[in-house]
Amino acid sequence: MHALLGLSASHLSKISPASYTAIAQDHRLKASKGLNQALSAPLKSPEEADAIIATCHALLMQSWFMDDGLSSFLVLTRSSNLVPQQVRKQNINALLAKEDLDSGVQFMKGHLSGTPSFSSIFVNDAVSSLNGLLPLCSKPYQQELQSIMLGNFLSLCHTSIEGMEFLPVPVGYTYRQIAYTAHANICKYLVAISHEEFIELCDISNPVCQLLIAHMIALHIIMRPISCRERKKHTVTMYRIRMTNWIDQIYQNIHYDWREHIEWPRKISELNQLGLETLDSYK
Amino acid sequence: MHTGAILALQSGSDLQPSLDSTPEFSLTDLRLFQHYLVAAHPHFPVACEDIWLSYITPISHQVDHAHLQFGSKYLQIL
Repeated sequence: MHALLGLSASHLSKISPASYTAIAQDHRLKASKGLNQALSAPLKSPEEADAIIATCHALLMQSWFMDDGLSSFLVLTRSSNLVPQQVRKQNINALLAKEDLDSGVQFMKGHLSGTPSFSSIFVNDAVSSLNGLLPLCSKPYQQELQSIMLGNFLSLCHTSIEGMEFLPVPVGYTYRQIAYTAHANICKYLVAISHEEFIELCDISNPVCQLLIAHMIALHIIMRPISCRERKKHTVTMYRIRMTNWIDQIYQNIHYDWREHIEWPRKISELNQLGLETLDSYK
Repeated sequence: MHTGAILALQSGSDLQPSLDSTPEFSLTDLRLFQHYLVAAHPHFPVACEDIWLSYITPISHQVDHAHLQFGSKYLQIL
């Protein structure tokens, strides 16, 4: 219950003049304590497993709406997928553990028609910025993330991008389905990398990782017209108001020498904060 | 898939409604709960949106009380 109320408080703070930040933090703290307590003991019932998974997801979504939510967003993205994996391994019949990223992608295949397209100019800018990071990526896990994000950006465009190989569309798929699948691969990547790699990726003193994450956030922002189809009511409030100032925070924290590489994500962040129409006109 | 609001808890489950009359939630919480039901409820994992309102929300207060009971028992042991 605390996780649900905390999520609601953070969401409401973003869309109304009133601030519920303090009460959101209070509920979040209580929910986190309850979650840690529950995870420290063996699971006794499907209801308890569902409550644990639900708490992970609610805390994850609350992170979207928190100004300082980036770190917990990354951690909870991983937890929200690893915990159900563990529940499935224990053969506990929890409802929220039945679905995984692959089944989610299959479900979404039928819910993406009519989503807007992206211009080649827009995608070209994104690809240029992301390709600028490749010489900086010295670790395999950094190169892998750069490659996965590149695939996602290229999947947004129906026409070829200069200097890039045109992405083939498999039989039975549409461009939108390819884009959503490519976006899910980022989440899969966050779940699959080793603990050590994940810690390094989240390290705010690692400029290359921070630049990669800034591009990941920008990608989340521009995927909004497609991702919002995950909800029955394609409400933009759930998606436009998420991750609003995370890129700015990375920009402020990163050394001056690295800032040229964050200009494109910063542009996306600024346009997003100006409003949907401004961002959509760029796309 | 069972998504009914009426739950059949397993026998022996610790998830029992609390009879404690001490108010744990405020009027502001009521406002937040209303907003949760209307606009802020989660939809993850994808394809599970209905489960949140029909199943997760009804069990949430029971689980909280189960955790509180577990916490108080733990403190008593200490």
